[in-house]
Amino acid sequence: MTFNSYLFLIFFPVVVSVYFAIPQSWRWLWLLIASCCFYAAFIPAYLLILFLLIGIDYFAALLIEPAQGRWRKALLGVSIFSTCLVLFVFKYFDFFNSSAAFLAQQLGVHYSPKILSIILPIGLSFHTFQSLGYVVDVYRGKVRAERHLGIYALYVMFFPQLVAGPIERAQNLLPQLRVTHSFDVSRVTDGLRLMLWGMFKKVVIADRLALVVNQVYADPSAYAGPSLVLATIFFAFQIYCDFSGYSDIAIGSAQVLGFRLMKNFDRPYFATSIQDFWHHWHISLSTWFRDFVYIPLGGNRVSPWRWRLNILLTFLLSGLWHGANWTFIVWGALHGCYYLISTIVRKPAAWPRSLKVLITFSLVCFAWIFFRANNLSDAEYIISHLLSGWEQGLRVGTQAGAIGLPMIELLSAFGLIGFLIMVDRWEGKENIGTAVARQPAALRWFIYAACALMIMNFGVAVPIPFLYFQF
Amino acid sequence: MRIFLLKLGLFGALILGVQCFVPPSKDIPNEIKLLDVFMKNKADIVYFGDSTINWAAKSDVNEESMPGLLQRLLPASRVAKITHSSYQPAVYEAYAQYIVRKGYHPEYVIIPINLRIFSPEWDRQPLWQFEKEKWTLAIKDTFWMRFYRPLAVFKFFDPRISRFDYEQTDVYDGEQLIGKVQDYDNHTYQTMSAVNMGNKLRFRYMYPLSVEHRKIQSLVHTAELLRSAGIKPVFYITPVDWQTMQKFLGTASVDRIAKNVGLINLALQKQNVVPLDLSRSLPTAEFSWPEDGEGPFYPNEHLRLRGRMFVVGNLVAKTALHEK
Repeated sequence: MTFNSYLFLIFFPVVVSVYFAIPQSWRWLWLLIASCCFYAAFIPAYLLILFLLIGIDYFAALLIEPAQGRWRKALLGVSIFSTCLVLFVFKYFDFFNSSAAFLAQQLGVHYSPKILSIILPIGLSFHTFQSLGYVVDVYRGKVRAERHLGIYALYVMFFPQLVAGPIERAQNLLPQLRVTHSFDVSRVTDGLRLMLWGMFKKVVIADRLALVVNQVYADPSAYAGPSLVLATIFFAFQIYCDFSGYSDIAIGSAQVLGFRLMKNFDRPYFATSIQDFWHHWHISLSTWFRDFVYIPLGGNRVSPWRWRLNILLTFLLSGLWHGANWTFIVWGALHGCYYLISTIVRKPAAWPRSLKVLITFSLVCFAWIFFRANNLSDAEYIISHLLSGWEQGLRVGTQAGAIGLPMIELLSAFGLIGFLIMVDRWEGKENIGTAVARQPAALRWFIYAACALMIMNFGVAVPIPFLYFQF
Repeated sequence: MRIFLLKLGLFGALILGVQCFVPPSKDIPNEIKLLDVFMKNKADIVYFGDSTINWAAKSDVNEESMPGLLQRLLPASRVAKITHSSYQPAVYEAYAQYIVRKGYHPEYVIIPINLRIFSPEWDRQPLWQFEKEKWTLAIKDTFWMRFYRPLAVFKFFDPRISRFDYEQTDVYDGEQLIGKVQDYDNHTYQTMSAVNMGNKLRFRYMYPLSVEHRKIQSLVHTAELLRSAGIKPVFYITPVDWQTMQKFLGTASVDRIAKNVGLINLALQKQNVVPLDLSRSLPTAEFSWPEDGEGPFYPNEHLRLRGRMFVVGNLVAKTALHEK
């Protein structure tokens, strides 16, 4: 079930009502049942994969906690291997196999691979990482192994963050699952407000931009520079609104139930450097990679060359995490290179902040080309044609060869991007939720009603799935 | 808490109340808008169909669709063409309900029965369920159209069948279970071979049909609806490339086609409708698939000009369809 579906509009009030109506001792079970229903709405059979992951890491943590020395390490290895194996089979098997076949072909060796073509279980990369993080934290002694199988299962399956994060840490979420949450009106209102804003970003902004992005990126060779540049910039805002919108709904719905999830985005396009960008973009994933990949590799407490390798490796893995395609690997590698170059080339402090923001945004946009392109040759075409055909201008409209939006819709898309930038700028000064809550009731209601009616009447009706569901 | 819930309820009521005054969305499928235009212009014949009735081969000197050709044969009648690739009986039924509800009165409604619509390749394919069309036709010009856009935004019109469920659908060769859709769909057909040709044809035509099939039931209901409104339904079974089937799957394949057609006839005869059976009426040379694509292209129901003319000619000659 997706957040922007009528099913969720029915599901969520029912879950919340029952949750606050039943005694604390039953709440974990209710949330677990609700989470199973939420996930089963996609593909019921894939619940078994989740149960398998839960089983592996639950028992692994219980065994790791009292174990000592090599045995402890071996158990951790078994747990990581098993969890990664599940991820590999479902997500990466076909990719590695077809890459091997391509390599064999180049070497003149005959190898015809078996392609599994399995539909990827939704959110598999998210919950495997959450599960892996828990086991490693138990191994490091940062968190006690959870004895209650139901509570642990709920930690992995908690529906607001089950399919696209934030990738929660056990230290943060597990203790909250045992606390009694009372119905706090101001907390519930804050949560609902955040959900409303997240929904607005997804269905009004992201999906509208997606109409152009999908049209142009489906066949980039049919377009010249202006369309390719526009689609790439639109994609930058689409993915931001899509994913941060999802995260807002996830954080907001958890907040309604009384849970505090970690922040996942913090005005990333106002970053003044690539390092800064990664402190503000998909925070739960970048901190995961920092804690469970970069630091175990030695972090920066190694020789300069080794450190550079660690940075590159971390970004490469981050790229691969996003998808089984070379485009994602190149995207990760590009960000790794940006990162390394930015540590060598220091921007003059005298540069205005807006220039630094613009440069960072341009670099990020350039990398998004690889992230969004269907394959490397499409990405190559787009990059090589970014500066061509400017004399022809932009073909606006929905006819063949045009960008997929009529003029009025295109203008509204620009207006919405402007509005988003304005809101993010304001957010830098103060929390908008708090600012709205301070307003007189009539104005507050007007803002909420306008937002809801915009979602209902200006939301895009074409089905466009959340981008991060594919990961 | 009680006050909060009261406020929340009030807010919900306010939103729904305001929505009642929002003009109904005009963002509906074009085919439905087109039907309204045709009906306002008092079309005599409504010709529904999938890509089969539109498709022209690359070598065709005349690319006219079947409704266009029919219009030439019946110049005094106004023929309305309502088509979309992969349209199927559940949509035709929704259209029939809409036509009857709106009081439209064409003399004839032509409905082609493409035998592939019952196949595992097509029947549960999520993209070809047309929920949006069905719902639009059900609520168009009613109060509920004010909620059309919000319903669309919140995925109410999305297919109820998931891609996963579709891929788990059984595939039969006659009565024998031979696998699942995931074993027969897409990737396995990149190279043309006798094995691939056989598999594709099995996937498309060798299913066992029963009278209870939801699409046969839709055809029956459509016939019933139209007849009850005094509109004459004309059904015909589209030609399939039986010669290629016989070549790769033997005579059993032609028997299977005959058996399935017999079942459709049986079901529709209860409504006193006899579909025109053109399933085995054309040789391979009249089908366009050998020249359709650059890559491997497998047999389907798309026809060359002579094939399209044959179908239309037969519709005029062998059914109740005639000039007004």
